[in-house]
Amino acid sequence: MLYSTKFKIGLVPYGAPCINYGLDGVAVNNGLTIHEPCELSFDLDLDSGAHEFYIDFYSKTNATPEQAVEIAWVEFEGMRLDRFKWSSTYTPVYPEPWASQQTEVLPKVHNSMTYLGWNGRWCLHFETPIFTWIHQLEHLGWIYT
Amino acid sequence: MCCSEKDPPHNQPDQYNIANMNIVQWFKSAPMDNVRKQIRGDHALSECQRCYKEEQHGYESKRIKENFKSVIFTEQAFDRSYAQSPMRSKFENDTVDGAPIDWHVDLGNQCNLACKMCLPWYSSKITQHFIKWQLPRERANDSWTQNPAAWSEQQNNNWTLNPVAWQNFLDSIDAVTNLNRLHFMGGEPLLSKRFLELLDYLIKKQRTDISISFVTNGTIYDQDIIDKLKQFRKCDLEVSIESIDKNNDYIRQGSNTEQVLENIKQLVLQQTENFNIVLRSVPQLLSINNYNQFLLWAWQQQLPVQGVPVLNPDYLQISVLPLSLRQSLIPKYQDTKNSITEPNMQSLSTGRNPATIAQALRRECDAIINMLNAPEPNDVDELRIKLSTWLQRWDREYGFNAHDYYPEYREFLDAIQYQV
Repeated sequence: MLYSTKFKIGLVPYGAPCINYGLDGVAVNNGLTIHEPCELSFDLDLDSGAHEFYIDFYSKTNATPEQAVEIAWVEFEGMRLDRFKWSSTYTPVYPEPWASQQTEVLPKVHNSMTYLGWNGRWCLHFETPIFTWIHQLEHLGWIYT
Repeated sequence: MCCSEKDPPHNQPDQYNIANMNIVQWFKSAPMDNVRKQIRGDHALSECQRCYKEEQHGYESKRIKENFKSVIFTEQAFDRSYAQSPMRSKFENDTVDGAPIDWHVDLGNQCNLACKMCLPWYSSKITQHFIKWQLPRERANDSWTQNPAAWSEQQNNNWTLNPVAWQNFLDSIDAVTNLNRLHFMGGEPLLSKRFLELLDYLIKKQRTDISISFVTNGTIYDQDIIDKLKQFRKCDLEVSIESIDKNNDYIRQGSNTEQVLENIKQLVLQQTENFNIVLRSVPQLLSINNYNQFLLWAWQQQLPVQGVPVLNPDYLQISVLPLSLRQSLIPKYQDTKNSITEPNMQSLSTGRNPATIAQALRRECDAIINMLNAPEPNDVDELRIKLSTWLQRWDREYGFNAHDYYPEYREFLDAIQYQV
């Protein structure tokens, strides 16, 4: 069964970062350069189960240290709730030689990180049916089944 | 059909009666089938008016709370969430299988208080006064519990004392093995011997997987009962209180506010993850002068408040106060709202979730401000006459003088010719 799912993601760029993004491993847009705050909007029919929306930030170099991407907000079904954007992981590609110079082990994955200061992949994890997922995420009580 | 219904969905109380049928049979009866069809239709149900009115004032109504249990987001995205509700196929299926698993049970009207906004079918004390005053004593039995024997005057309108009705009720519990929640109201449930018997019955039958909740007036503290309640999967003990000031005693006649507050503090000390205290209020003309203090107190105690504004009796509605007087109270509620620190996050809140107390209390402030700003009803003059008559009748009985409790209402009380 397919579940209609609407979501939007608000991005704030620092510098002019380039990103690729897609859903469940399938690219939706490659090579988008963000010059000003923007939103990515989706209206999809999705199978029941877990899904992963990704953003790959790849354009930061030593020559563009100002570049970063901030996930300002995530909206599902017209509801803009903080826990949505926190239902995410960020897997940075740490720059060298900086990474090797660190005395402490750098985390491979950051949970609920919404500021992408390094290149890497940010993933939004959600499930469909979307309202049941929101209900559970927001701790809205028990559900008739 | 629902504890908030305006009218029952039938006019055959002799037939649809707990003494004649069990709860599953009622659930599958023709009137309930008809209600389900109406709910699926395009028109708002007249039975649901109370919820619609509460929603107009900015409250989260019973309808909204119950819809959440079926993953229907009434306020945010009704159509789209209904389309994906795990209950949709059941809602749209004309054949009803199973049984309700979430019950609201009124245990009769035995009560030790006579609250000014209450009615005979919820209070035996009020019934006594109505008889004394020779007022028409509307009966409580226009529902599935009606049975002339069960609701006899001698038995304080208490269907639970009818052995056949009570046995049908117990049999119904036994039959519904997946029963999730029992919510009790009275009267005062802690005065009902049947309530205590039922707790023992459920414990003996190893049905402590049921979630229990009930509304109490907070005048009774019994550690034995609390210890029993703690054996259940979950218990919400809901204490009715309108104010932390002396006007609570004026409203809730027969109460002792200091004692009730002390009992609440003792109950709070007993709270666990599964045993929770909730405050229940009915914001009204007689509490709105200092209801903000109550909300602040709840915030300090970290207790959720479930407020349901008084719509009936209509002369106790907040809107019966003059608009200018009401608007003079608004800054207090704005200050209260501002002093309840909102967590720095956007999230949803429903019911009595302890994690979202701040949001719920701020919403309560907004709803009150909304009611303080509402236009006066068209029949406000008539309502004020009724109010004056009602207050004088009670205050002569209990030796109260409204002027002592509501100095800010002095001009208004004079204008409606209140005198004791």
